[in-house]
Amino acid sequence: MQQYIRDRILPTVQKPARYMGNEWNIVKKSWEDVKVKMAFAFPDVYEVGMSHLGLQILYGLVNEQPDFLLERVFAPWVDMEERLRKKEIPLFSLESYHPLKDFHVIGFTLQYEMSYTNILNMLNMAQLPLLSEERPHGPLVIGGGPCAVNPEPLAPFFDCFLLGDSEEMLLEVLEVVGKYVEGEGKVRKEPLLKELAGIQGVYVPSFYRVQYREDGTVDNVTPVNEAAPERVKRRVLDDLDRSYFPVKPIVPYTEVVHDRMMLEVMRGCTRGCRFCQAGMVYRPVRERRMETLLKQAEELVAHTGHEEISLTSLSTADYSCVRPLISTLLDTYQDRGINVALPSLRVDAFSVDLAREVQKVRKSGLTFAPEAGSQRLRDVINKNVREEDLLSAVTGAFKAGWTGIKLYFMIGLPTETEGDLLEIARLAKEVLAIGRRELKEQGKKAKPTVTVSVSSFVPKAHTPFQFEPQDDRQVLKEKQELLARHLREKGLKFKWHNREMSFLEAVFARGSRKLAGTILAAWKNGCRFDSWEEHFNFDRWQAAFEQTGVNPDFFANRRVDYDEVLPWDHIDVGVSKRYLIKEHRRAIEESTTSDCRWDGCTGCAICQRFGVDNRLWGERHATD
Amino acid sequence: MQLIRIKFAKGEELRFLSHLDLMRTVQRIFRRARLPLAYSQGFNPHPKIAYSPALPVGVTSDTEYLDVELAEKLQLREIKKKLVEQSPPGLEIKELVEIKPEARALNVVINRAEYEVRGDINISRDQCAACLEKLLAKREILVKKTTKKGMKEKNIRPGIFNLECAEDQSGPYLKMLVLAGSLGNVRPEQVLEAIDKECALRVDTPRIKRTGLYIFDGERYLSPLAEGC
Ligand code: SF4
Repeated sequence: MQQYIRDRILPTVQKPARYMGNEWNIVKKSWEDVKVKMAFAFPDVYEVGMSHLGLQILYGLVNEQPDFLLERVFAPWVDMEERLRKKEIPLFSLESYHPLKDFHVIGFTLQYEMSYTNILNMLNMAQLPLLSEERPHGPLVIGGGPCAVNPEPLAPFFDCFLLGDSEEMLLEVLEVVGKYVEGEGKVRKEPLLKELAGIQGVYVPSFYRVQYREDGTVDNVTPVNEAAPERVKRRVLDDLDRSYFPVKPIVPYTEVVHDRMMLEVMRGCTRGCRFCQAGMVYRPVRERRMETLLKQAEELVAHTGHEEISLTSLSTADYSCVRPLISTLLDTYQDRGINVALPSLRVDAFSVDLAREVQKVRKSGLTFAPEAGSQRLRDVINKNVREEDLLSAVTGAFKAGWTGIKLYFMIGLPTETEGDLLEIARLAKEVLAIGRRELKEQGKKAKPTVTVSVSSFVPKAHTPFQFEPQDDRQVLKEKQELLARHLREKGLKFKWHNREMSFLEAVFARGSRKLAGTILAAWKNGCRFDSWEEHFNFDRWQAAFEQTGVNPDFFANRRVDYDEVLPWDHIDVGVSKRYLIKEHRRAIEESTTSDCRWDGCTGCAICQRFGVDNRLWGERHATD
Repeated sequence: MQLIRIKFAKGEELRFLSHLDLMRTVQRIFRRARLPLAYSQGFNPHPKIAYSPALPVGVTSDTEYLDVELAEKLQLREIKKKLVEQSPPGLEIKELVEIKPEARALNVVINRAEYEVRGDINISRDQCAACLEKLLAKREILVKKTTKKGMKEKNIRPGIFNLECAEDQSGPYLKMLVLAGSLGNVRPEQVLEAIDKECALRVDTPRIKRTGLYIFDGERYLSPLAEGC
């Protein structure tokens, strides 16, 4: 089969290297000698999936165990899908080219809502039934990753979800699976799920019954199996410093989105932006020690040969040892042709300083995310950035030689007025004016550019804004047009995110099980690669809502009461609902909340309830 | 400082790598091997590695070359050992020679490429020979070429120096010697297309391999390893 695919199929598709396997550091285990076989399925193309650190972590972790193996599969691009379907070749893994249905476990990572139809498409291409109940003998289909904190729209398709840091629990799960395997692709699923439900962090959706009220809201979610806990607690890795880290990641041949070494400096963020799901569901802050990171860097360099080290986390400038870490890395590796990259910058002069240190060539522009134009609205969302911070950051950037600045904003935020929107335009023009002045002073001919990139607010589960509606699409359209009118000036560029995509994100981010049928219908209507503009087709989605009698506005555009039972209330990510309500109230009052890692606990309750702590190794450093 | 010319093979495992993918792969091999690459000056330094004419995606090769500059002088044996250790399956380091600084670039001196095409041929050996003879008798062989401006026709006849039906223990195959390098390239797929058009000769799922790259000086075919030393 492998030979057939290589000789007959791959020469006829775009970018065949996506399906080739054979990369450096690939692990090929003897199929017969391994007890539990798991496929890691990424519901997007190779180039996107291979940029994902979580994949590399689990790949290394599982494959180091003698009794388990983990192989990869990505969503085939549409041309490949067509060829495989025509020849009736079932979807296969890149390592051994085994059909997916021969694995005991298929694990999908749920990175964004817009990948859901790809999941169904991959299961179907694997020639497996889509619904969990139609697969009584396996394989076990599991899901993890950020969207697993509200997996309800996907509930009927999956056997279980892993909530939280997967490296804490996956081996435990596979150990249990091992007790129930029965030949290729087969497990005794019923007893297996019962035992799995007893592991902290495992959520078995079929063990819960959801009852609705007449108005469509949830009345109650009740365990219907004695093995299932009332609420499923997320699994939290307590000590990142001592946790597993893959120092021999797979090195892709073909260019992927993030083609570099990834050094995870910390996990979690407690800045407390009220719209940000990652900032709520990955608490607390867990840093790695600098010495650990330097050792890991040395090994990564030796085993990959990559030309860049990226310091990853939700906000790397907040890492307490970021300064010495960067200078040590530069001292050690610069002569060997290896750069350091900072993927996320804070809006302040300190971050610009770091960027200046690592980026010798000022090739691309610098990006900052003030998120809102006015101080009032930034207080509402708890983005603790002052206008002076932004202005001093961009001044520093122009002085240091950058000529392009990119600013990220969100529109449709709670309490937003036209005045707040106009502030975005004013800020952008101010930044441009600073650029002109600075470049002129330096005697440069280059003209500054300011790109304003605007996305639409999406209320997410487990955030203080989970109670807020998303703006109506028509309102968002008017807001985008208003900005477009006010951002017409030479040197200003305006970009906005697809409103209809943001709408669907909002529908699914706060969705219930009632949406499962809609996802199925959308897939049947031909939806896939919905996060790709060239494939996104809103008409097909609208048809799917109609076919299934679901009103999407109910999920996206409705204000939710504090005492309403939410579809995800039985999932306990650690942060208490009381805290979310308190934070929501503070938002409406325009009062800010400080960062607990430096200024003391603000009461989200995860540390006390889960027995964890913010773990910092260095001192707080100045923000400007 | 040391200049080295390396002969390597690109096998089945890597046949779908583009030239760019291959360049990235080679740089990473050198970095993993901790060989001291020399870097270009300027704002955006890159390692000084230059390649023989690019191999089309999907084609394997027994004879690829690259020139690399190292910042220090090392034993060739030592370099080879390190490179072999860090090379993925499908990339075989074959030979290394030291070259002089005045050696001309591979892409400039190499002007001939030889390919073998294997797979099921739909006509007999005799018909094949007759077909190729007929084709080579022409003064103009036009193939379509997509350029940035759209479709263009290109005459590849002047770039075909030999074309024959051959056979060995693994069966019949096509063999061709064509123009390569900075003066122009004739790609084996183009030749196959022309043969198909001429007399419906088709190779089913062709496996194409580059079997030689040469420097033709008007009389002799020289190996790039011999030149430049
Ligand atoms: S419990 Fe307190 S210290 Fe811990 S993450 Fe929540 S707010 Fe911060």
